[in-house]
Amino acid sequence: MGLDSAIYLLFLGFVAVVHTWIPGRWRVTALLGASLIFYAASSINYLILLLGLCSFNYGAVSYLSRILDQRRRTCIFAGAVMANLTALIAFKYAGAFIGEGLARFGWHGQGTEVIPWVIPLGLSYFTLQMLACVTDAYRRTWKLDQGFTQFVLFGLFFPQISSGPIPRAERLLPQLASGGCPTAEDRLAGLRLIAYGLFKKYVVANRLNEYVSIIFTVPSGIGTLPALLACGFNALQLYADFSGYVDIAIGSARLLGIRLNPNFDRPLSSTSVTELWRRWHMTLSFWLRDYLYMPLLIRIRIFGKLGVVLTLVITFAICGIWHAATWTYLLFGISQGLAMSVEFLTKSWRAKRLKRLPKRLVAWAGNIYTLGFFALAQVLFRAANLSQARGIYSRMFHLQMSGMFTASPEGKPYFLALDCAAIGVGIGVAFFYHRTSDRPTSTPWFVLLCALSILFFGHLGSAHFIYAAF
Amino acid sequence: MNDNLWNDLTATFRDLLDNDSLTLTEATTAKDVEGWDSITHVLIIVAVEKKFRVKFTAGEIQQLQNVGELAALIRSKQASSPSGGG
Amino acid sequence: MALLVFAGSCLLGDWVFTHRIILRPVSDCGRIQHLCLEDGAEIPVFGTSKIHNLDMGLNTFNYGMDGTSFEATDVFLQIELAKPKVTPLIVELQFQDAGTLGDEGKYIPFASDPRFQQLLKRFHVLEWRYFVPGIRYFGYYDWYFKDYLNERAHVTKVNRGFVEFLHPRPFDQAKFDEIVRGRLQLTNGYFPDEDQNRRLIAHITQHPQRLFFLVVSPFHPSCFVHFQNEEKLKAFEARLAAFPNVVVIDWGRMYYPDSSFVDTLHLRHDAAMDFSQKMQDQIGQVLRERNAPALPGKPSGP
Repeated sequence: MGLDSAIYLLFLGFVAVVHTWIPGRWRVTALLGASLIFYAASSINYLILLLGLCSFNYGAVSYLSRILDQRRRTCIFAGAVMANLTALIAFKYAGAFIGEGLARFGWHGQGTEVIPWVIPLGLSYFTLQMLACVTDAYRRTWKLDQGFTQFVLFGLFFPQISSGPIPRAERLLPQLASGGCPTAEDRLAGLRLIAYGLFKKYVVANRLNEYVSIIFTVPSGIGTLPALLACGFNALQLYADFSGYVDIAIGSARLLGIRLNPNFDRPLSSTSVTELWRRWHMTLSFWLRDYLYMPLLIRIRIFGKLGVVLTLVITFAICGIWHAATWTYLLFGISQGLAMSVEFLTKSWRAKRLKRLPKRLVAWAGNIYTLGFFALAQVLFRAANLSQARGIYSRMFHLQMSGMFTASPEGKPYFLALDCAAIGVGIGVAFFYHRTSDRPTSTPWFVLLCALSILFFGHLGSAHFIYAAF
Repeated sequence: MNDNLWNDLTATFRDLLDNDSLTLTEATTAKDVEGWDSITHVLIIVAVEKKFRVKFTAGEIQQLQNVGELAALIRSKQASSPSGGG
Repeated sequence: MALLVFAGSCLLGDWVFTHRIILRPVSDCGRIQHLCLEDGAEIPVFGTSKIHNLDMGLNTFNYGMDGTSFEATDVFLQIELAKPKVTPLIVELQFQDAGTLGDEGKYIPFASDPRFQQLLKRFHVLEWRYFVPGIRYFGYYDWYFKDYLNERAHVTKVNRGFVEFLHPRPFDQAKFDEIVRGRLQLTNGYFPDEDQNRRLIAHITQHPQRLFFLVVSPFHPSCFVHFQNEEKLKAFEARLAAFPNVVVIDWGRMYYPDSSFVDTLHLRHDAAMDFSQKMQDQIGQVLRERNAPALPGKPSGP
């Protein structure tokens, strides 16, 4: 069940009511039951798979937390990492690899036609979560103090299982072990976040998706301006879609008295790609920093700046591939790594050159550059293949001003204007959200504003959150 | 000797972060210093290793919490090193 | 308090939209409402967008709609044939069913009618919220509003159900050739749904007092390349023509140049007017031959 569906909201409401009324000692069980039901609604078979992986990781983490023999600890750690990665590779990447292999023998189908399974819901995020857990236990930066039930709940906690935020055991497990104890402030904050998330999904993301989908499916027939607009709308749509999902996830957990890590911190205000990745999909970028980037860079630090560049490119290439095993995602990741490398290598030079200019101007220019670069890179994120991405880029960079409105004028020429109006409503609601976030009594009115906006401006559009596909 | 170590350490940080007015304390962390991010953190470590002629393990680097622990680690490495520093 | 404001706003918005925007005479919803309420001497025209540019010098009302399956036409026929009328009907004969309902938003205001409920259920698009005033139009407000803006901005003109686009794009031969190439890659032919055919025949036989004109409007010649089941089509048309209250007018192969087409299925306005005039003449001739009373002309005014 998607987090934007009516059935999920009913489910969440029911869980919140039960959670409030049952005795505290039963709360962990109630949350676990809810999480199992949530996942079973997607697939009972894969629920069994994830329960198996939870059990395996629990055993590994328990062992790592207790024994002292370093050699045995290293073996257990290596085995746990291999097991988690094997599950991810088998379910997520096997189809792509098999398809690529068979294509060399002239086969023209999709890799996924060969394998009889689809990727289990949330496996990509679950794997990162468990790898973090196991690594922290191995490094002794965290020790497992909770029991099996709490650990399974940690692995399958329903608000964040499908698309994150990727939690850390150190922060989430103790909260879950207590079963969550929401205050009135938690409930209001949770409601506010859920309303805001649904607004972003239905009013902004779904609506922009209509325009972007048209441009991306027929790039050869459109002019430069629509291509540029689609590029910008695509980035905005992705942000609204993903941050909308995250708001619903964090809001749902907050209703239950559980605080998840934030995933966004005003990324559209970033003045460099480096800063953007500290504000965008934060739990993923911090995971990459702590478990991939830093360990790799420390080991090749002897190469100095070259080592930094190599590590950045490799880390973000893996980040791209983590989303999906396609050339477009790989190129997306590499582009991010290269941009951050260029920023790193030119940092001192830029500081000297731009010292004399007003700070505001420099920040503004940096913001324009960052958003422009990110929007261009997101074309790779959205395109079905390299050919489609190339079509969009060529439309943008070969000046062609005809075809301002992609819909035929005798059809519905005003949908672009209504899209822009929806973005305007989005900005207004965002402004109201941030202005009233410290006034809990305004929550009912904020929820009302979101509900009316969703009802009158909402677009049904795509049924699923974009990041639920990874 | 400790003052020399601290002065050299501060000079290394100032040079790498391009900040001549930077002042370090034992409790200083990356959050307290502008420009000290994960990208420059390892370059700081490399510069420190070169300056003080010590070698840290990956585990030691990852467990450092603040500048005080870094200084203490340098001292312990120098004390146990045959060439000895300071 | 916020809940009351929400409920009030929903109901008020629903009422305003329903009566001022959605059920305008010229919208798809308005035309369906017209079908339900009309009880005079109008000649209805049913079919897909292919027939919705048929505008004759008769008292017709065109109910042709984009992407409309015969399933929808069947419901419209049920409503029309339940009326105590004796005027003829014009029904588009489709070579293959559109297989879609088009935008289901046009049926939401009528969701309480069991016939439309069945129709929506058949296509698995019946939602529980269609029965709840205040929230039934969720996700469709902009669809209705864009139609309204179209009309207010005089992008379209609608008269007696016939929709005319006032600012069509100029004909582009190169783009049209590309459309033709796309058509040639498709499988063209007569692919009937026997159950739908059976239901059409049932309407014909159960209402012998109504004269059915079953028409096929012109296709681009590319639609007849490697046309399959031609004999089957001829046999079915002959079977239909054998009924005393049926006239089959298959003008699918009537020639029009490329520049007369929007795409391989739809005529541009001038060609549609020419076709409409020919159809009007043909219907008039048929009625004379049958010694039927002359049909009322166009009503005065729009």
